[in-house]
Amino acid sequence: MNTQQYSSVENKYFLLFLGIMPILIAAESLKLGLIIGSLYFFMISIAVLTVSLSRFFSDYNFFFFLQNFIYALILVFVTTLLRIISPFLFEELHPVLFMFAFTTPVLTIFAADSKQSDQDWAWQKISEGLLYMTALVIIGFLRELLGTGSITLFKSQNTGSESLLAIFLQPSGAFILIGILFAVFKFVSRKTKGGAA
Amino acid sequence: MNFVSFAFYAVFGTNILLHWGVIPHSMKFSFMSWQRLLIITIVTTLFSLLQALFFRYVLQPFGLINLLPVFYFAFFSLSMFLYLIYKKYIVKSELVFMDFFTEPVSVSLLVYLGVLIAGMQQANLTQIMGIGFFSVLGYCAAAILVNDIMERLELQDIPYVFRGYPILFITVGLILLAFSGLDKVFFYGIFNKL
Repeated sequence: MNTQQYSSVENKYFLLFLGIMPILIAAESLKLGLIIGSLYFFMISIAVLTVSLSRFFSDYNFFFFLQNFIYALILVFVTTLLRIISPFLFEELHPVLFMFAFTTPVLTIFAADSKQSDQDWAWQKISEGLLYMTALVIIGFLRELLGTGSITLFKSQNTGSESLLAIFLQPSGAFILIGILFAVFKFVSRKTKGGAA
Repeated sequence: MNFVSFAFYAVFGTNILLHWGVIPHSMKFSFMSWQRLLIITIVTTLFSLLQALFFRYVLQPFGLINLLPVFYFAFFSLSMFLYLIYKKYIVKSELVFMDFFTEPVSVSLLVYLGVLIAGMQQANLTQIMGIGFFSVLGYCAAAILVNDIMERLELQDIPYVFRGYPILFITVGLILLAFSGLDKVFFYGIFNKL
């Protein structure tokens, strides 16, 4: 696909969406969206912190590998902690949590796409991370609502195999939903710009 | 399960696009030449075997599944390192390292995801190697398909708000729907002996 035709702003959002697509697909309910979103925010904060330290390294390639190794160790620590605190939750979530091993190189590159000397750079990246965390929660919420017609987080008991539009619980539904959300975002931003002008 | 059935299952059922949703950014045939594709599939196959051996005989018996991220990191780094060597000494071309869409990182992630897909399957070692091999081929087929559809869509008069990434996501979603449908039909066929 020729990406030159799209604006740089759109490209920037697309790059990160592409990188976090596996975790977006995994966020099929509000509960998973909250857990994955929180871990994502934690990881992006660490990515920003470590990238800001890159100026102390002359060889960035070495730093890139070192940074990803640190992420892997942090992920091991988080999953071990979860396994100790709640073994059942670990059994349920560990395949999703291990997906972050895939996203960490992407987060590193996302965090390193700007000048590291900027004063507000770190806060900007962290606020963007917060934005994506919110997006993960919203996508999880919408997928569960459209897929099952209810939100289990607010229920005392799971009533079983309810389904409304089961496609939204599948990876294909996640893509279609994100495509529609992108279109809505584009429509709203176009209207806003039109209104402002 | 005969070879054709197995290949069919591995291409559609264990597709990287279906499991991981990694959208192909650019998969022009020039990028994925036969030589490169062959190397990637061979490396993925060997790494899949290595991962299966390590997981079954080291991590699982000793209850060290938590260490998987470190192991995944080792795979990612090793495949990236091998690709850098390939580019430097065999192809002899210069590289722009720090870009997600430049070849080393994206190819390493492709190998890495192929290994992950193979590692998730409950199968014997030969089948795991086969899944590693065919999952990369399946991804490349899906990528070429997406690329071709997007090129054709550029000529169509679609509403402005759907142009660009929205239509890409929706297209990939529909391809995934077709892939998962084929996968389910295949299993339905096996279990009902059609």
